[in-house]
Amino acid sequence: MAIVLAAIGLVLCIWLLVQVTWYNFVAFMLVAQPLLLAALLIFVVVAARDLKRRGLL
Amino acid sequence: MSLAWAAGAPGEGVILPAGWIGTTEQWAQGLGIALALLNLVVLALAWRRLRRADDTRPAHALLFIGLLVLPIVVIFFGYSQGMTGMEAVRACGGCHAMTTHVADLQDPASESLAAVHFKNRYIRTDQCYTCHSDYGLLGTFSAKIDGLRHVVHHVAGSYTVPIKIAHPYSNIRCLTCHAGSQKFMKSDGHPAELQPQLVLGQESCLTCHAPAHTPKEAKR
Repeated sequence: MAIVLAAIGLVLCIWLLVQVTWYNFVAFMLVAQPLLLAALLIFVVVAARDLKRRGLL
Repeated sequence: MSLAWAAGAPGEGVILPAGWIGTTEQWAQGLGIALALLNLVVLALAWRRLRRADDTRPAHALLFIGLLVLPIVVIFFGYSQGMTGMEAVRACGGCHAMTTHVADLQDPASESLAAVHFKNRYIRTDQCYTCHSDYGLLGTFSAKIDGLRHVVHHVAGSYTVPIKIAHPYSNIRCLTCHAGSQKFMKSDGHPAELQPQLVLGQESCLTCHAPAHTPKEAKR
């Protein structure tokens, strides 16, 4: 799930980097960044659970 | 690239010197795209490892890079590219309400103040942004906020045509470039007794130098 969200966010970033328009700049600001943040949060939660399961946390 | 074409599109048609390897901005754009693609490859590798291996630790290391390290760098390049890209005339002309203003700006036959600045290359790039943002950090910040407000109005359709400037045009935007120049100081139109009034904004530059724009036909 985190990988899919991050991939969508990165595709939006690439769209912006290739050609800046206000459409993709707004998409970058309001969609890409929250998606990348959500992906990171999901990863942190899953990694923390994994470490807890292994008794490392 | 012909000189005639260059004359038709000042700012974009400059003949490049031999050995030209691009601007810092173009290199940053290329690096940003390369890092974003690398980020996608790292995520794909992490996906493969997660599906195949019981031990998720190598995949977690890849995910740490692919979900934290590289995205921070890509977002940095995205901001860098996005913020500068939104200052371009093309970005301003992206809204239907602005197309007639941009057409007038780029019309070599137009004698509007904006067109005169454009066709004579008084301002080399980002002509809309240069004249419609105040100088300094706060000026940049308020211009970006204004730009966001314009996007909201464009998407919501909450504007009337012909569009009008939201605030009276500040003389400081003109004077930052013109004040102190010999042409400005010695002009009969700017006598010494008038110059303090211009600086204080008591007399608008546009009183004599209007019209700033002469858009032919406004469309929604």
